Amino acid sequence: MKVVVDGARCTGHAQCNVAAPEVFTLDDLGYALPGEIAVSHDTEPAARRGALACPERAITVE
Amino acid sequence: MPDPVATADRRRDGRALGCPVASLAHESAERPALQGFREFDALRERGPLHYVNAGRGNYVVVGYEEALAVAQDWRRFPQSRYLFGVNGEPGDVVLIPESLDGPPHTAWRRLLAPYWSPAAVGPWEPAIRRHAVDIISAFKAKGGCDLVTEFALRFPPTVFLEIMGLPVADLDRMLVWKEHLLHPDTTDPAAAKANLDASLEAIIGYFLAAMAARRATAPEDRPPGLVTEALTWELDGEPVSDADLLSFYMLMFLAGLDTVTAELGYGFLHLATHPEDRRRIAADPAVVPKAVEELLRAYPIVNVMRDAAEDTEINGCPVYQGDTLTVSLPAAGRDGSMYPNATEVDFDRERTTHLTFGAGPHRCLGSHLARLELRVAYEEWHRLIPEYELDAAFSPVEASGLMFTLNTLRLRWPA
Ligand code: HEM
Ligand code: SF4
Repeated sequence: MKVVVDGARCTGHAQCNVAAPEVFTLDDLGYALPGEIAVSHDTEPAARRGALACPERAITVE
Repeated sequence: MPDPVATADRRRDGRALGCPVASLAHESAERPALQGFREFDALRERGPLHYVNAGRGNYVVVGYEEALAVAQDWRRFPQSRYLFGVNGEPGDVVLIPESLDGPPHTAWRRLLAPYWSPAAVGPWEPAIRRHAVDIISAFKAKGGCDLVTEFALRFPPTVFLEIMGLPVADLDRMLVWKEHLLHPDTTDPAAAKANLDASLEAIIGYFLAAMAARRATAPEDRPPGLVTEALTWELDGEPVSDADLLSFYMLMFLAGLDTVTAELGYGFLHLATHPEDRRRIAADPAVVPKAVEELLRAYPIVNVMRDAAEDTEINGCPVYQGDTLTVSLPAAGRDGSMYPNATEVDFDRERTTHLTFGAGPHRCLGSHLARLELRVAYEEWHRLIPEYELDAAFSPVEASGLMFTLNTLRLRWPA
């Protein structure tokens, strides 16, 4: 599984990182690092939690 | 320029299409607490978008999906020209970054973001905690207080002054100016206008003096804080003008002082009337972050505004270029199609993702600071005053209008 952070939609709520710090990393401005993130079996639930936590729906699970 | 008559005709067509019509009357100065939420809840039950029967092309957006879509689409729905307008006239003050859209807005957000990111606000926690404890300790022994006037109104502005690097001793002056600006006395319009003008002038003078005092001091001797930092800000290689800095301070003043106050009011109203939730927080401070999110979700306090940049439609209802939309975040946060039992507070809710801080480019710049202030306030209050209830001799009352906030909430506890 992988998740994709859409940098154009992300506005820095940082809620993905609050919900799943092991998957989503913030840059210096507090925005999620954009692009694809490979998700291991162990962190799948966290990745889903983080994607759901995004108010902008900037994170898709693939 | 669209022809007004033709537009009015088309608008009637729009209503004939079945778009619901709402009337939002806010004539009295005060109303019982939570009435604003109940009115918007009732509106949302009848549909996600309503034409508001109040003169020009006005809509109110109350559904979660529709609110999110409008807030994210700054090209179709830019900031409203009625933002901070008085008496239905377009506003004539530019407030940075709220009034801006597109690239100039993005440039400002990049400049400001490093000061308000989670990593940047975290180090303020000890100072914020100290202020919370000081304020609560001042009235704890009395066995009761007005949560709004004695705590919620004082705590966030104290933190604001600290972060700006301004003397906390200026709090009382600042609170008077803020009241005149944001909560004018509706029973005496002439006095309200005079107070507003005087307070506006006073705030501008206050910030200009703070900037001048810093410039007159050697850089290494300037007090720490945002007002000092801002003197070095540049956009496109040019120093930011004093006029733009003032526009930013004015918005900080409007956005940063009253909002956490309002959230604390509704949060404590809930806790004082739901002893099981209050006891949970008092017994286990680890619940507080979840409680903060859920109380933010259930009690959004800001209704934001946008104008339509083109003829378009929302959910099948026509919206014409120049129409004004009130995007009701209080309605969106309590939308039953998004959350089960949406109007109930449930700290164990699986998903609390909310629009209380808005969405899209204008997403609240201060959201991470606001969350920190709320967490510290609930933690310290319940450590110091775990048992409390509503003082039955008084009814909680909220201000009328589109910014939801309590005017009074009397609590009492075993002294
Ligand atoms: C719980 C408290 C707060 C709530 C509910 C809240 C809510 C909001 C909302 C809904 C917006 C979006 C407005 C729009 O879309 O037009 C906003 C914007 C803003 N907020 Fe907050 N706010 C809070 C606290 C704060 C604090 C403490 C600060 C101080 C730093 C702050 C600074 C701002 C600024 C500067 C903007 C404008 C952002 C822009 O236009 O890009 N807010 N706030
Ligand atoms: S929650 Fe969404 S908007 Fe916020 S940082 Fe993460 S991806 Fe960006």
